Amino acid sequence: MDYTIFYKSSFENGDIDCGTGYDLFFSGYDDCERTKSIFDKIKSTRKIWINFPHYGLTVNEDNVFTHQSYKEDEFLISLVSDIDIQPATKICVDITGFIRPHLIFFIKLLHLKGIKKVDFLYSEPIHYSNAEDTTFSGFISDVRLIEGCGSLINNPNTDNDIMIIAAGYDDNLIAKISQSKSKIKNKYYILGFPSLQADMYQENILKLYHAKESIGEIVPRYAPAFDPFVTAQAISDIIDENPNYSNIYLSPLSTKPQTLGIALYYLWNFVTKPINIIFPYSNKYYPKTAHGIKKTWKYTLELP
Amino acid sequence: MINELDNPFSVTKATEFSDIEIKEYWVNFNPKEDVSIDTILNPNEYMPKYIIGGKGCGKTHILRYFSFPLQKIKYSNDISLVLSNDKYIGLYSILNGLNSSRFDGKGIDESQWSSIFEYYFELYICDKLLHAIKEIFTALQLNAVTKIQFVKSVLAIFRNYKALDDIMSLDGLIEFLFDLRNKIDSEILNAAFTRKLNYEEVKILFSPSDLIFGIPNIIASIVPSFSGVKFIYILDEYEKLFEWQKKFINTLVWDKKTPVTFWIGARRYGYTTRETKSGESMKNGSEFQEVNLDEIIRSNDDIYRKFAHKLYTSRLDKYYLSKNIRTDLEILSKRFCDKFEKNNDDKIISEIIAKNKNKEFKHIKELRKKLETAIREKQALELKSNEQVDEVINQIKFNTDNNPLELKYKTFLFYQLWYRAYRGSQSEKKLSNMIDILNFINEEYSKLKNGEKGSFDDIREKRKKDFIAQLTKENNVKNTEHSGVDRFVELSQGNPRTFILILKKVIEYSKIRGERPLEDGSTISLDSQYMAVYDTAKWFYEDAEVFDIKGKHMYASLKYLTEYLMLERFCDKPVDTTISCFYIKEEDQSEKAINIIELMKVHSVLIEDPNGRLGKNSGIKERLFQLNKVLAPLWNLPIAERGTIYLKKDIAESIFNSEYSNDFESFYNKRKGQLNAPDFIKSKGLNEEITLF
Amino acid sequence: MKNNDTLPLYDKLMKKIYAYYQTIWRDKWKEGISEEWLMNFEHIDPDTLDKERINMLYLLSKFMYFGNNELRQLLIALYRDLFKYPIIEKIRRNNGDTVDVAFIENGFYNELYKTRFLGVGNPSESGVHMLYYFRQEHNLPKDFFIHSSEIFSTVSVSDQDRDGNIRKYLKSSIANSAINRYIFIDDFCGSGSQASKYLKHIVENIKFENPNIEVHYLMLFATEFGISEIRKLKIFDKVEAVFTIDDTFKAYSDNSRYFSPTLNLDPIIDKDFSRTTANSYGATLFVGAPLGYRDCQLLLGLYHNTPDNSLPIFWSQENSWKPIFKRYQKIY
Repeated sequence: MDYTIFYKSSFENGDIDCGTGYDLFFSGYDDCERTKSIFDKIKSTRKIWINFPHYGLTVNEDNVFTHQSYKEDEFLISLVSDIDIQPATKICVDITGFIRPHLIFFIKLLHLKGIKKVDFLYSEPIHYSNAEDTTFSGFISDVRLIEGCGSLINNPNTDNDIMIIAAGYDDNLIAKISQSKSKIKNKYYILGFPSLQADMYQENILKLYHAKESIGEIVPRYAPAFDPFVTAQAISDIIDENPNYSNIYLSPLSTKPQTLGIALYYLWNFVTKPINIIFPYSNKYYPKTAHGIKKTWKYTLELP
Repeated sequence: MINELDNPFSVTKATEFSDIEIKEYWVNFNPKEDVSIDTILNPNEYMPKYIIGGKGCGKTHILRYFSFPLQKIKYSNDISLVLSNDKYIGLYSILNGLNSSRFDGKGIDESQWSSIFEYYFELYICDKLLHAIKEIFTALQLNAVTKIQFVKSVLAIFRNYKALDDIMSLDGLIEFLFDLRNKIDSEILNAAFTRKLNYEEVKILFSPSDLIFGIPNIIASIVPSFSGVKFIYILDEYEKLFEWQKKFINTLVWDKKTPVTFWIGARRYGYTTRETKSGESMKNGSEFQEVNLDEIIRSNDDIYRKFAHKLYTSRLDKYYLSKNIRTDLEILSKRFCDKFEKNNDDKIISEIIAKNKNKEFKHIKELRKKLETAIREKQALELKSNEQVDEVINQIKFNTDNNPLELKYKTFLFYQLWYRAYRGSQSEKKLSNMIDILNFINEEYSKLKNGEKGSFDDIREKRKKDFIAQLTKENNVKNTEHSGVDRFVELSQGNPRTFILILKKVIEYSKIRGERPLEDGSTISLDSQYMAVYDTAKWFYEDAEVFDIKGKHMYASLKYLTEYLMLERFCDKPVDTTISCFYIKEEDQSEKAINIIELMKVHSVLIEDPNGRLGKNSGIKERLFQLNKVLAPLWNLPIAERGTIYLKKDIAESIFNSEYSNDFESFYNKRKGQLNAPDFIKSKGLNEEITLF
Repeated sequence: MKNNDTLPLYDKLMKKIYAYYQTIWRDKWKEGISEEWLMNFEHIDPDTLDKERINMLYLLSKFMYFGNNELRQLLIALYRDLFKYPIIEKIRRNNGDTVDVAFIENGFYNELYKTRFLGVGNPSESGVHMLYYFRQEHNLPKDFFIHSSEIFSTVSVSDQDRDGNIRKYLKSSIANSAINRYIFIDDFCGSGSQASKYLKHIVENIKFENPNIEVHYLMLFATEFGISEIRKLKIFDKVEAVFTIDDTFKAYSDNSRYFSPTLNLDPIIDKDFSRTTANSYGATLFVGAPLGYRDCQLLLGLYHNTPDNSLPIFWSQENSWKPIFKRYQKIY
């Protein structure tokens, strides 16, 4: 499989090509200008704001889905329980304000409902509020596999386990993931390069460097911070280089597009490879960490 | 990219070692002449062990050292020698590999999870066992009949054994267990969406623990070379399990059957229950033996120092040997230790002087400001005008050659006497006006200058370190007090990884600053040492594996505690010197506060003195703690176990019990008032119990 | 009540610089670390000197340097994202969204064979060195890379004019008629003026000969202004950069990202002071443009060169200034 052949395009000013329009549009509410303006502009029969409890926001909008559970399975199963989703339903999701494990679980859920093609939108920020020192998440409550995204074959021999971390700004998350799988020797880090903005790469490096003693030696790989397909390809290349893997762990700790790439790789491969997606959970995410909107990407995920 | 520089100390974790390196980098630890890790763990006995230790204490290194792959290396792959000499097989497994948190939630209740976990666990652990057996069978060249006999005996454990007739080999058996596990894996995965487990797929096919104890028993009975050979299941990362999963492991340990025993490796914070499934607790000493590595190492400073010495010399030796340089170990070690630039207070002082070339020192400016405020508040004795303040300052500066440290001594005594003028007790030296105070100070000071005994001797002897810390903080200068290998051993407080990490960082910083630290005749600057110590402290602070609300509370408590301790050091009139320890009366404190203190203890943020402290009047034992020395540099706090502060009930609650954290600020401000001019004049209750030990 | 840690700001910034030296600036390490550069700032008053150095150190901690390793990654990105992907997208769209990887690859190679890559500038320059990396990373044959002078060939023609006189003249035409796409590759474009001056007549000639030939101008870095200037020429079918640099990257612009009010900066880091310092030292370093060519005020350097659009205090060697990201003069 070559994941880089999938469709992607970018748009200025939120003027997204919606084709003939969507049946369903979902967007995570994070109180950022970049998500609100897209929500208004998108052509869809039904539009739903998803209010994740992690942001602690009160949403004064119509069509808001709210649920108290922090757990991705409980939250999203409840979301889709009264929405008619058929294999032919045309769905678009703005992932900009999504919570990462929820995004991955959501995609797997849609896949189980027979969806083979979904459009995802992501708006790039101009900068983060406090550069590399921006706080994105609160205290980690737990490190575990994302629900429904574990492996079908858990190998008791862990000698050649591989962990691939899409490593972003949140060095604390990276440190916690590395600690939780501290016995895995083979760790790869996919850095977002080219980054969303020219200075974000070095900010990323500073954060990683800072956590280096908790992380261990870093073998870096690169995929653009805005490209799910090249990210999936980077994962695929790493795994091809390590044919003797015992278990594979993927961890999405960077941008949402890279998270999408991890979901994509998982869905194409989990039947034949022992892949797990692991995540350091926090019940708190800070809204309004991003400023400005550079451009909006549209990615079409094609699923097996 | 972020790969390591060429550095003898680059590896700080056993995980990064290969099996061969585990053997090569093994440094035995001898708490007593005839006692070593070998004799403590003693694989020759059946007594199960719980090996407990904080991060970086060497636990994984030790456990892997006793595992089958290392046994093979030790006997150059001669497995019959492993069996006949070692008389045990160490089967090392990482419990986290189970991804045990999968066995939870998904709309399924705990009892279902518990039975499916126990079943899965056994299949999982036996995979490693069967692979080892397969390897041993091949090495021993066992005949086909014995092999089949073994396979068939194992299959007989299964309820549906009649349906398993076609399994004729060890590989077939391994594959059969694989299929059973696979079904469970897939049921767990689907349950996230279906919210149920399909029982047909995960039906339990043998009685609990029949495989885990049964298989070793079968081998022992049919393969003569296994007679008297123990199977030690070495299960690392016990801390990663849920409480109910730990109880299950405890139950296995409790129920163990010959020829099987267990070694359980756990981080201290995760060693939370001794209970078995029946609710009974296992007894340390009779039913299992607890091996607390941190305590063993910390029990004797001298032995730890020797151990640390062996550790770094062995690393250096390997490093230079890899470059074809062979040196006598003692010379190597001495040469290395001599590279470290020694801390020099004069150097810090000159830096501060240079920074203030054209202006008044901050502490003098502060004194001026405080006197001016005091005049307004009518607390400055006879002083009335700014001109008089200038005169006071001139008197303080007199004879000091504008040396900031000397000025500190004098201002300290000034603050002390000023305070006493208003609030001193009868027994203390009390002067009632500024002129007398300043005259007294300058008389005493000239005694110091003339080498005669006087008030300043004591001040200089006991408080110099604190004043240097104050000066560095006020002037934004690094306090480079921690230098040299011996100091790093002390800072690491019994933790080999912390020690190696400081050295690693020292080499890193020194290299990047162009000091060529590993070459002959070079010097490792104080700056490099400071940065290394600081970075290690920061790492230790951030690396605590503590989660959720508990973690949040722990960090909040640490913040309050260090703020309180800083207050004692960075003030005008410190009561005691170099405070880094505190004690509490346990019976005064809430369970919540004690729990957080315990949490800080298991994460080695606080180190408890096992001897405690006897209450002066009560005779009741009080609990005595010190902030882990490695953390102290983050806040410029002292590391000497000298000054101790008593945290009264309410203050301790405001620090350690989140319910009362709102009270902290007022306690803090009250204490601040007591310790600083001119507020100390009107503050009450300075005479808190503060003692030296 | 403050629990700020005790590491002085200078050392905090220095720690970042050390981190860069061990990572992205690794190939700069051998040239000595930045303290020598900081010694360039030598204000006579010790307090102002401290402030100068801290402010300049802060700028340095924000300087974007892309080393050898990063440069190669950028060239990979340029090829993959700006060149290859659009061709693949077209193939898929024209073929019912096919996911037949072999078919797609085949279609791509057909297009690749009809493409030629060109550097911008003369062959002795670093840009050409960059093309070598580009070729190496993508395993492309040498003859896919040509110099702009090789686009055309000149043939001697002889024919008769209206009066029947034999005339002989040289006619220039596209040298290889099988080529339908020329890709100009550049590392950096600041104002767009120099590159457009150099390329305009070449591209116009190509289009004159065959308006169907596509000509692309792809860059690693370009300012928004530079891109729009080049697009205004309306001679390229595509003008794109891996990194677009907007006004927020201009050190002292109103919306400078380095002094954004959302940053939690120490009060000693002072935008006006920083500007005055950079300007006063810069004035002697790069006459007429103390804050960089066309007042671009960038903090950008690449492995093989530093654009003069960056602050001269970083790259200039005038008046025995010791640069930290040395610039080699570019000749068009």
